[in-house]
Amino acid sequence: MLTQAVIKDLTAIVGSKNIITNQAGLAAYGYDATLMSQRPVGIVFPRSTEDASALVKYANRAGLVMVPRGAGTNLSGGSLPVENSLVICVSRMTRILEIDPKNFTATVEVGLVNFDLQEELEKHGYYYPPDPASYKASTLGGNIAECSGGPRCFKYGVTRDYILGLEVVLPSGKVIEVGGKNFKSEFRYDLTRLLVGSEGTLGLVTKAILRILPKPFAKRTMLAIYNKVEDASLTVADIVAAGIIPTTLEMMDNLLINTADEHVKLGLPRDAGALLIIEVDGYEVDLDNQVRLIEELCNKADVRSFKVATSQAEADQLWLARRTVIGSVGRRRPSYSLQDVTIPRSTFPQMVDAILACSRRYDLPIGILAHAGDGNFHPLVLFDERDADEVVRVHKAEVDLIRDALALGGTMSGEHGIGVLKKEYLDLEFTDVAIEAFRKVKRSFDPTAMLNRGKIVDIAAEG
Amino acid sequence: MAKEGKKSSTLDEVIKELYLCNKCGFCQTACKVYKTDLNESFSARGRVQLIKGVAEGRLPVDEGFRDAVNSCLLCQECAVACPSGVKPHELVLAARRYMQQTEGLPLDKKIILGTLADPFRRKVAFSTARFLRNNVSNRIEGFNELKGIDVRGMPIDKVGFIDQVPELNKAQASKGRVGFFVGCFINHSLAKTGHAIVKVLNKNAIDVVVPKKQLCCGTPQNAYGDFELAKKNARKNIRLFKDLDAVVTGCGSCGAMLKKEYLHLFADEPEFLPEVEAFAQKIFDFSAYVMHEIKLDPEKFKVFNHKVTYHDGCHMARGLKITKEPREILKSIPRIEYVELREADRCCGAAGLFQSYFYEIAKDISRQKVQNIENTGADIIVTGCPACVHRIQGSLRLAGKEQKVVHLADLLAEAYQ
Amino acid sequence: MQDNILEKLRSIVGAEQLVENPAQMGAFLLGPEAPLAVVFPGATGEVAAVVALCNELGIKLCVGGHTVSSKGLAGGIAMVMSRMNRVLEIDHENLVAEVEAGAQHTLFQQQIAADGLYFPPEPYGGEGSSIGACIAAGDLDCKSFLYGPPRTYILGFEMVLPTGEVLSCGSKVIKNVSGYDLIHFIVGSKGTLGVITKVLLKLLPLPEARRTVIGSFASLAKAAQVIQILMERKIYPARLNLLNAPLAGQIVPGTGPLAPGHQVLVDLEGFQNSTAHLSDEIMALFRLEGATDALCVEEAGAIDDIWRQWLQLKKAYHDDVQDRAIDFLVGPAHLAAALSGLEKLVTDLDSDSGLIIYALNGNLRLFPTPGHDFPALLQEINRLALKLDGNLAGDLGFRLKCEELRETEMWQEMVALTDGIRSRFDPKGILAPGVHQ
Repeated sequence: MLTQAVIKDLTAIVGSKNIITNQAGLAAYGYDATLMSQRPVGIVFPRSTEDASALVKYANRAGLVMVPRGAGTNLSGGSLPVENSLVICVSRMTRILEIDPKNFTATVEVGLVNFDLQEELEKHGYYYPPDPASYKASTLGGNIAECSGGPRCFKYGVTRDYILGLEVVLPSGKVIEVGGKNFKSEFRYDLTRLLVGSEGTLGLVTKAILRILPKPFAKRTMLAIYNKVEDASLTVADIVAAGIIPTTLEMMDNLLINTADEHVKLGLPRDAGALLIIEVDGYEVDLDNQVRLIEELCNKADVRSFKVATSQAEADQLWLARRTVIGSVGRRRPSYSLQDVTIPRSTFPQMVDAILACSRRYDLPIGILAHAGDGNFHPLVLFDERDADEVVRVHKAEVDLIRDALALGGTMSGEHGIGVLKKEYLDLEFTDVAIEAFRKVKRSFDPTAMLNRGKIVDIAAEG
Repeated sequence: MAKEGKKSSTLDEVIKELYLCNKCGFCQTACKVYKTDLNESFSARGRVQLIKGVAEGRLPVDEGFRDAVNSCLLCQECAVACPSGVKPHELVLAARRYMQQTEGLPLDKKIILGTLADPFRRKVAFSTARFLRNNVSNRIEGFNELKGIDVRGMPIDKVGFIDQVPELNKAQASKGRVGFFVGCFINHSLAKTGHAIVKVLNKNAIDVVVPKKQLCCGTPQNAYGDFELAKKNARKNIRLFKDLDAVVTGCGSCGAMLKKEYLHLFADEPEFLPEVEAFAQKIFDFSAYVMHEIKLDPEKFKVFNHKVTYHDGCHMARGLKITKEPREILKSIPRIEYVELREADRCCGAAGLFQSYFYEIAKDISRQKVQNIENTGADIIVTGCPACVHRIQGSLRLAGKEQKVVHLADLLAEAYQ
Repeated sequence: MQDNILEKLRSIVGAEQLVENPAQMGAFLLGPEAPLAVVFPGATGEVAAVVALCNELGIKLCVGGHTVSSKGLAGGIAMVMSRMNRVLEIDHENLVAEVEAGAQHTLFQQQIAADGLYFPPEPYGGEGSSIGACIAAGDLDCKSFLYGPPRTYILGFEMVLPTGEVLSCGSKVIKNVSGYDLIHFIVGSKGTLGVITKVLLKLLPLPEARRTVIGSFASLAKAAQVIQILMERKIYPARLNLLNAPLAGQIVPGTGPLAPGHQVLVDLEGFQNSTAHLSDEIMALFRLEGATDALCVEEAGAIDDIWRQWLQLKKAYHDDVQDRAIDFLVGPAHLAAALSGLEKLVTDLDSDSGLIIYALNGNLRLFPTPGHDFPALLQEINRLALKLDGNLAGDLGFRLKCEELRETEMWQEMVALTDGIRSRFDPKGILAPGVHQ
């Protein structure tokens, strides 16, 4: 509980419309897209960098741990409040400060939702490549904090590759700018890269300079349907070996084909083993050859049907199915645990086997969604959170999947981050030396862990 | 006073659906209130989670909860966006029902809902409003709006439409007959639209029956959980139109209530349900009726040199699922230049009582609508819902804009001249 | 004491892998200051032992691929990584290679090209320089617009920390957000956070087709205008460079030198059809815009030859004129404005002072002739760049920007923050003494 005095001080900074302390409000900011929850003691909405800096300075004085938050679509608990914490929600900092297409940059406040930026860029014929599945809801600040990926990473990379500069309120409340409108604007170290993906533990990002690109001249979206997951993974390997880097190679298994189709009603064959959504882009004159080659490779892998979308609307429907498939599993079981393990592409079939084995071992349905080109899996373990026994099994399955991915030379997190959900498994992936290096980084920015305490790594007082 | 949320039967019925929400947040972008206020409690996901909290007894029903639940537009966008198939607006209705049952409606709402449900009180209320507007507020310099509602520009008819027309409005060489469910807004403040509907139907050789005793459809009462009052009127309406094979509505909200919500309302009365179903079957929105049942002949329209856009009312688009018909009808009028409106099917900010209880958010939502309209360059905005006509016209007027907002029937009636 | 240290070092790397004779050491050092010895470790374990020893005794240590900067290294140790030059694995299926930090950049590129694979970044310091140098410097190159800067291609590394422990990060995956992103953070850390011993690199399939188009133009303004047109037509080649006349003569295609002038060099890489179309379009544009000479090179050997000359030119300027080079950036759309501003400040751009431009990145590297008032020129160019959405590159640029904008608090904060990171990794301050001074 915040005292009336503290509420009064915070209100003086942000105004009465930008502070929430009632019970319902605290409850509404007590969750993200994971199953965990923890109510904060207050929520404040800075409307400017000055607000944010004043809030951080004040919270330091008042001894309040701060938790940065955007839209709260986080999948690792990174934006989840901790005990006795003040949520600093950037959702109302949504201004686009500049779109400078000729210099390939956009400068934004970080509460702006990814999709809302894309809509503005579209008017200029530009786009911002990183578009996580949540892009209609998630803020750019959240994307930056988690270094979000999305379906286009295979060709275009992740959030890290599109952040040129940041304005950051340090845990002390002081404001710095890292990077700039150009590559090579960094002072001494590439702090921009360190801040991207730091899950709000190193600084509160308030503005970002993003790299934007002109929309590709042309693209082709293909749908390949297979009887078996193995056939789909063969296609993936063959396409890469043939020297084609598609923007997208998305895979769904039978379970997800069914739930996605129930939501979007594409008329997909419900008995298919897997499907791949394949997209290539570039110059119009190059694409037919690539499509022909891809079709050959699909045929070689015993594809059941292969189809090129004939209109943008048709392609959009496929993408809608893909983007909403995670939520659509709610049609099977109410809860899901979503992993983002990532493995070297060549071990794709082994990871599929491992997931199927895990499903049998714990008697839990697991849907397999994968950014196949990236080796990035989203196994969706389905259960009911009200069934205590199932929850225990889910927890075990999660660890097993992480162990499996690590055994195949992968990582436990390809795009969702560590947050609190995977913190306890950190030592499965990293040596003590690496974890200590993480602590050095954290201490350099936030020696008393005032910002997003308890996420990624814990630090003891320095001395 | 806050009451500890006890498990209630109303919320128990929806607990399964509450658990379906896996908090992905995809509904945030669909929730116009959230997109405007950017506060999680005022988002579809937030409301669902808070309702779940109350259903499980973890949260009290307090001011914050009531605001969250009452801030819903019931526009149903979230249900379309939800991959898991949750229908947050239904959960909101359940929560409002729960609040109505456990703590009763607040006095202001009780009076408003009761007034709308009673034809006599309704008549008196509208006349009083008209009197106050003409004799008090209009005489105050600068008094243009009340909480974002265009008071000066709001038409209130002296005599209601139902009292202006005979029960039977015969066409020349009639080929068929429909009932006309008028609804409160057309009756009291858009009589001209009522006449337009009759005219277009008559022009197409359809007799129009306007039963004099028809009552409020029940949308306002249903929206705030007073199912008993809604049912009382519904029962009378169903019986009143019993002898007609088709009933036309000129309001998306009335239409959706009669065609869809009555079925929910009477779900617990299996013996009466067949009668409700039969009633629902014969409800047609004006646009659907003229397009599918009459099959308008565009040859008969005069040339219409206007740039026109269309706004979908929430209940029209997602309640009745009517989006194609009005557009196709508009495009069929010779020389009309039709432009699509960005976010055409997003709420205009009216949403019944929402506009007066959450007027700041409502004003923002309407501002966005006005901006989108500006961007189309259209000079006429067509819609199928009287409440939207008023809200959008009022917001345009308050923003100093010249564009006209009309009901589809108004435009067609003019095209027949 | 000194002998004792050398003895210990010999016992770690082997007697023949240590040089202490100043005359012999000179070949491996850049700068006048003399370390105690140059060591050539052969394995990570040896690197770790040397670093641990230095840390224990508080001896400065600086590392290089073939040569080591001796700045601040008097009495310290220079470590040359040239023996750790193996390509450990080329993994086709995953488009990944693992190499030791001392591996020669160009040799590595040739080796994987034979396998149909591609590592886009240019070598940091010419053909002989190492992969480790490329990563440690993390410098933007002229291919960064299309392919991303060098950091884009690092998936993991093994590094000996200043305290002697071995830190490993990353794996053969292109998406990895596990823990803080040390993988990319170390890129550009210039040897201050540890000694990189191995790197895991992301590769691409070799482009299907290549063409190089060169045009000579009578004025810089004209050349800039042509570049502007290309960008407006959304043509973004692998390289789009401009060399001013004093430098242009150093690129001589196999068919003989082009007519003198300012040279626009276009390197097209991509698929067969579009590459052919684009080269035709660019040639046509060059002629239309009044190029005094234009050439399209299609044969692979001839193309390689041109870009080898480019790298040599780049290296020559890198090594010889670095101290009086001015490296700055502007928004790429402001290139013409930058050039006209620059021509006012540097009047011999047509005849003497050198200028290399990476047009797509808006990166200009000026090599003014010694007659110029260098500090004054720096200030002027800084202002020019700031006006055009840009800045001087790197640390200097940040400092001058803070001074110009009176951002004293931010400057102090950044120094404290970066000093803090460095000292937490290197508590005794032994590594790369000449960096960030």
